[in-house]
Amino acid sequence: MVNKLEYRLRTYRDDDEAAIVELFKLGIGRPNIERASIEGWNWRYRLDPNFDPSLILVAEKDGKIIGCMTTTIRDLKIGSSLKVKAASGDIVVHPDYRRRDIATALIHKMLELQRRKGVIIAFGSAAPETYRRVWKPTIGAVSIPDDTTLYTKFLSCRPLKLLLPSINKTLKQDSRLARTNLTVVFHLNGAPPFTLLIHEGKIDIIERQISKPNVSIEGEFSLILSIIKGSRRRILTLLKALLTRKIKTRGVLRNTFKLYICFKALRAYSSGL
Amino acid sequence: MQASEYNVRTYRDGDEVEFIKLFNESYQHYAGVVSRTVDDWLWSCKLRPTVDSEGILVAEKNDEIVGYIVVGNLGEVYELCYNPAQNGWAIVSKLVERAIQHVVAKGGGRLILLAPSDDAIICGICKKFEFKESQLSDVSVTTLRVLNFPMLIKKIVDRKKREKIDFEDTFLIQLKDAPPGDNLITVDTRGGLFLVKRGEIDNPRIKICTDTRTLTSLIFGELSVVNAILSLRLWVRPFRKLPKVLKLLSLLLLRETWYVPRWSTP
Repeated sequence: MVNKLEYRLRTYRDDDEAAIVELFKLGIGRPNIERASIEGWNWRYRLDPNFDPSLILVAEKDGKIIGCMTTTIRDLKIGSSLKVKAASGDIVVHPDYRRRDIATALIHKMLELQRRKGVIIAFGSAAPETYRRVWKPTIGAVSIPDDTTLYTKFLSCRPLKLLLPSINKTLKQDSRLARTNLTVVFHLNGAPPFTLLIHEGKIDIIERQISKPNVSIEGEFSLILSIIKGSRRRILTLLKALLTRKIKTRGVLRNTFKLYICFKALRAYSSGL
Repeated sequence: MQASEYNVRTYRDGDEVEFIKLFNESYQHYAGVVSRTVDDWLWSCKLRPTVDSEGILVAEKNDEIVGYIVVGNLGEVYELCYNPAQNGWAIVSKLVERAIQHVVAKGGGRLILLAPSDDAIICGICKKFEFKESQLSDVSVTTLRVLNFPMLIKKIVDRKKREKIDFEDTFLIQLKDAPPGDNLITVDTRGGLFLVKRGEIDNPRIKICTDTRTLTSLIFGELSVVNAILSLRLWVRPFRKLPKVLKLLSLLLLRETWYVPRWSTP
């Protein structure tokens, strides 16, 4: 049985900045300069013409900040000539204090503050899973039909190239990978063509297609990346993609399975992509 | 008109006055966008830590600004606008090309761009440059919670005031999950007027019982009235007054397309 956690909610003070930034560094899957740096904090809040410190809440336990919710009020368009006062922002809870309803307490207190400020709508964006798990049950938020298209173009293999020394170290340590000789040409939608050369425990990348590769792969860059990054079910995802022709390969079938071993080698480093 | 008629240069102080005109004009038909002022633009683009002045590219024709793009050093396109009265295809094509060059020069590995799905020019250019296309809602959904229904209803009806109100009656909307004080809304349409207030009036003739999620979904077009009734999320008493309730909810329905450029509304 988990003991009831004692903490208090209070509004932001000027000397909270460093602690809040550290919390965002811990709490966000992939920290970025806009959320997880003092420079980002200063821009995101202090320089924002709509900054209102009374709309930043922290959860504090024994003088340590363990949760934070920030919001800003803006005039959001909800129709072609209809604007309403709306609030949006971020929330983060220290990983050691999650599943203790701290986020719920912050959200409910914030909604109360927003109501007092005359906010008509609280809005934001979330991953579909976070919406289903947090926002829908906690405050009864609704996901609205959104007609925004996301376009991505991969411009170079530079992020992958930067990881090569580390990948090569792994390849040498793995006896199966150290014996693999393979030339793979990737021709992926939304990415420039490139060739992966795997030779006796060393990987190299050439930013063009070479002739007569062992395997040639066509498909979506993001799908290949999701297979590399994927968890235990990535072999199933790869097989399904091959069967449904979302990924097309040319070459000897045996080499295609060698390719899976190569994906495995890339996986540990894929978070940098 | 040839693409060469358009010149692309980097940002100069003062360009923002034209930028916000283009931005507000480009996105005036969409819901989900925060209208720009000069201060908003300076903060959200020029002062943004990941944007430097070389990443703000301006398309000109005869010294007139006809488009601009704001691209961060990590490859995110924060804003892309063009003057629809000009050759949008040529303008956007030039701007995207220069944005790609900028990101490559900064060592970025990708360019990410958000666009309204019905903007044929931006979508067409992205296809031409072989961008990978996906729906933003697959990775990020826009969530919304109404905190003040009476005010929202009033604003919607004020905007639609030209529509004739031909369903005179008194309605009581009961929101069973709202806190006391916010759970009863009275709508009075007698005399061709439209009055809305918190709380209950004596003897309302039509009662609508629902919850905040359902009412929000009905207003923002996420749920149809028929589905709400069939799934027992909306009750009307007496049921024979349903046609009037349909008229009321139809008046409140917002039909605009939502375009939510996520990173410009933190």
